Amino acid sequence: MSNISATEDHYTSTGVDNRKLMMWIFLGSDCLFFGSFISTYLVYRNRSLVGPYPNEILDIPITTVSTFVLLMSSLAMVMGLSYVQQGRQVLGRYWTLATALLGMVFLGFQVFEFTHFAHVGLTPRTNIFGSTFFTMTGFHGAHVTFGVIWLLIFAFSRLASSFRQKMLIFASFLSVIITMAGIMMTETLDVIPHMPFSLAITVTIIGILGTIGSLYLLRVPDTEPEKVSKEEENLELAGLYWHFVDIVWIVIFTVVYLVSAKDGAPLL
Amino acid sequence: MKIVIDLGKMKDSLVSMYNGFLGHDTKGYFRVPDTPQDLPNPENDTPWVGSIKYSIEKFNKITRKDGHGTPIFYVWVGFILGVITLIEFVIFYVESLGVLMIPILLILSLLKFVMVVGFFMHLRFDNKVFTFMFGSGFVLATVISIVLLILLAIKP
Amino acid sequence: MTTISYPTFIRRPNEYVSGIWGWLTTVDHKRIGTMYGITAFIWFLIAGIEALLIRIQLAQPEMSFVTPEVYNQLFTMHGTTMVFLVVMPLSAAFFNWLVPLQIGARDVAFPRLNAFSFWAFLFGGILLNFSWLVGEAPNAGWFAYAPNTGVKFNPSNGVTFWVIGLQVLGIASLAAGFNFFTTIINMRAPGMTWFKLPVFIWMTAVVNVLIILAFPVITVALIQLQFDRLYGTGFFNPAMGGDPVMWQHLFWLFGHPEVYILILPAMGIVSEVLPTFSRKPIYGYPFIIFSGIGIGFLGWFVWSHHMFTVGLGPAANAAFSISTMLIAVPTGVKIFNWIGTLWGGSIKVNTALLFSVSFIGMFVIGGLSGVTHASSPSDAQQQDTYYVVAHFHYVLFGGALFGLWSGIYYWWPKFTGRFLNEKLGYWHLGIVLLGINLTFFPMHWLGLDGMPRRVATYPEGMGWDVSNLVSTMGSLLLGVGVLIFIYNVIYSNLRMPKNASNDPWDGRTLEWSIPSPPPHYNFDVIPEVKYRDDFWYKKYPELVDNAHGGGSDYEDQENHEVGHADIHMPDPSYYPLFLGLGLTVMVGGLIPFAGHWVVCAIGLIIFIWSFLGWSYEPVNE
Repeated sequence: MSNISATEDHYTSTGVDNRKLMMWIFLGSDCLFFGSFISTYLVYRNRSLVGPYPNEILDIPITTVSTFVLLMSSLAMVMGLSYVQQGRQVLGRYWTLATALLGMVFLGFQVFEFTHFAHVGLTPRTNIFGSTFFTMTGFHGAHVTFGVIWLLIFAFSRLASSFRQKMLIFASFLSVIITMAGIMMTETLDVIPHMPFSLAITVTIIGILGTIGSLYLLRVPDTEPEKVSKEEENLELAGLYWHFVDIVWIVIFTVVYLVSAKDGAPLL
Repeated sequence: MKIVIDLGKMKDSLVSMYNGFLGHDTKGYFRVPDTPQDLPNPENDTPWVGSIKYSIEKFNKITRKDGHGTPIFYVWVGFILGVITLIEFVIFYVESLGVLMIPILLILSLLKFVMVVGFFMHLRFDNKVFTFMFGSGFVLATVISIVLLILLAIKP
Repeated sequence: MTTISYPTFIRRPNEYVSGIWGWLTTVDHKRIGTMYGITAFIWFLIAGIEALLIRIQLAQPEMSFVTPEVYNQLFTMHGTTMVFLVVMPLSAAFFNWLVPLQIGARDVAFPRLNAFSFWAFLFGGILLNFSWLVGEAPNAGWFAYAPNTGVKFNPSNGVTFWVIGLQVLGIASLAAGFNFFTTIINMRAPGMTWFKLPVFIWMTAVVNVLIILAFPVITVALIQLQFDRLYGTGFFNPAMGGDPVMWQHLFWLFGHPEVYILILPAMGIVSEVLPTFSRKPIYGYPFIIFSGIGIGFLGWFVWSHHMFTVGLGPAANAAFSISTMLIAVPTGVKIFNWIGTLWGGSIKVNTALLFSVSFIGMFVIGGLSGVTHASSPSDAQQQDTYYVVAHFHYVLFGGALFGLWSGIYYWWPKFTGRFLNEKLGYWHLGIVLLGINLTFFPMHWLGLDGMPRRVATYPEGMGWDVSNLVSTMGSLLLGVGVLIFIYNVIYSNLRMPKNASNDPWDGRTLEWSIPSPPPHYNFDVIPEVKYRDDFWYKKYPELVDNAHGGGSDYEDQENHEVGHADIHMPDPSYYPLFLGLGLTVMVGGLIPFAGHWVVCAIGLIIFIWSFLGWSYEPVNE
């Protein structure tokens, strides 16, 4: 957790910061957490007694796009960290917000996938594939959500020093949510009764304009570079967490989607 | 009778063998020795040997000498990650590979994994204690998963 | 490279923040250790009463002192409480007290996280035991095998309490694990390299690594069980394609490292007590360290020895038999090291030493029965009988608990400034030693004769009556022994003079260099360490030739100023308390009762408020 007045460097036996060390240890531990979920998934391959089965329902092209989005969010994270380390607040802010945005896009893909699966008849209660798939990707999504919230709160409190800037960051976040709600609405026209297409499109466009507008207005820096670069330790911690979430997804994508996508009914 | 285990001497002889093999002073590791976060370092360290010297120099040029990548370096890494993802996507649809697809995909993913961990998470340039912490968790998770899968694949 | 710079003002005088608020907001590792110890001991009494009730029920055949349903709840809660609420927190009490003192630090790496671990432990234990008050304690054994724990066979809320209580306790343990491991790596005194650390610190490091790596596995297993019970997933439900044996795999992947988590701290304590009272260094220091590491590492590859009778097949059984037999080797090495420490030493006999020596004896007995379990054919007969109960009680009561008691008698003067009465201590030890053997030794042949465990009663005419009666008498004797210990504690507090010096036992490690009890900031000056058992060689410089170390052995920071600068200590905070409370309320709100989502939401709000407050609180750490 961030420490608002970590001013002095304390003596440490290894020379590295305590919090960074603990974050790496935590990530090592989290490998076991996700490893258990992934192992459970792998053990239960080809054991569902009823459909839908993976080969009928997993959409590789869309998941490849969402994987790419998450990888690019990792890139954005490291760019943001690099600029914050140099004390350049505007670019650091933009790239950090971009990371959060791409993370939200990824979550949007996940939500879309989950609702689509539920639509087609796959829920955690349907079969063992549903149980293992939804819990594994669900907890991953929860990790991503926590990361997005962390980055947004970080940008809000550390990379924006005036009230106006903080409000703009909040506004950009809201706009992204509105955009996503709009897109959801356009996708679910048949599900929600009396949903006019025009309303859905309007909401989406309002969201997009809001995002672009608030981000454009954030281009003015008002903090000295030294103050900004002091935040790089905290952002580095968030970055490590974010990259870890990304590599877990790399493993899940390969193991669950690519390797197991052709699984079907049990071979009796 | 006193039995003394002097780790120092054993470690020294192993390190000198390793140095001889790689041809330079590695200080016992394949990568940079203890590096505090804020100090420049990876001047002398080259993880590859022999004929790949050109890539080594290019790599060192891109990897700025103070131990942080430049933004352009990270963009390179991101680009390569995207390309690998695309390759994986294509390989998925190549039917003729059969079972061979799985090890290829696993290797490609491992490559992505190592790049994100090593460069984006800066593990390559940081103190080795981080590698040890994260590595042991990751290796243990992988090994136990594999043991569990083997265990359950053996029918009684 | 880096210089130590302390800020130029004293944050706090020697006094603690006073009163109850001081204790509720403390981040001082010593106070947290005391709180862990007291709370763990209260749980010990409760779990002990559960055990006595079990034994009374089993004193005679066909008794109906408690119904089978209540009996199931008793042994489940006895086991769960003893493992998670007694032995682990007592170990944590020692970690809290001793880790900073023995490595030469002023506090742990994350003091507020340390406090949070305690509060989450306290509230999690209350949540778990709250199930008694609503009449629905968990009843499926401390390892809760599926499908007994599924909603089909266990529709009441008992097992749900167990699941969520353990989740909170797991988070508490994980936080402590991260904290102590970071502390040991990063906050050692200058010159204190790894191979100069006391054996207890090495064991603590191994234990905390095991916690960090094992608890995520049970977290996942508990999540899956919870989802099966409440949300209709099919992880352990064959009707959906699941497999109850997977629960066993996941649980024992956690459970086996867990038992090493339970025993290694006690082994570390014994490794500290024996050298002091033999006036010799620990025999074979590298061997004992590497054995500890070996046990920690190999412990990951033996889990299916709890599953020999589940039908994994002969290949799997053989493999795990071999690995289990292998893991007896490092344990044996430690036993020889301890004997080697005592051998030829100038022995000072007192309660702490006798508890450690009894540890060795009792642990060997328990270890021998454990080795017989390693062979899967013989385990096929022993599984689910009282033979197993004898084994683990010998290693846990005669082992872990005796080691912890040895530590209590040894470090009590350091923690409180008073001694525990030796005469009462001898009575305590004698009665408990007799009690253990009377209670658990008959269980060996009861088990070999086939008496099953976890069954509320047994029929007449099996020939088990006398042994069970003896066992029950032994357990009552154990109760008497514990009462004597309680009396000793009270007596010590009221009657013994507060006259313990810095170093009453002529100890070897750094904690004996500071006053008893230590001041708030531990050390006036952070010591600079040259040798293993550095304090001993400061006291007896003529013995330095035998010392390990010396010279500028440490590879880091040359320019640090270890000066008598003004000391600043971390500020107290109430957020750890509220974060623990919020977490418990939030998780407790997952139990399905009327209005539970409201409770969950309230817990979430408290959690988020505490989390943010903690993050933005100005601290000087």
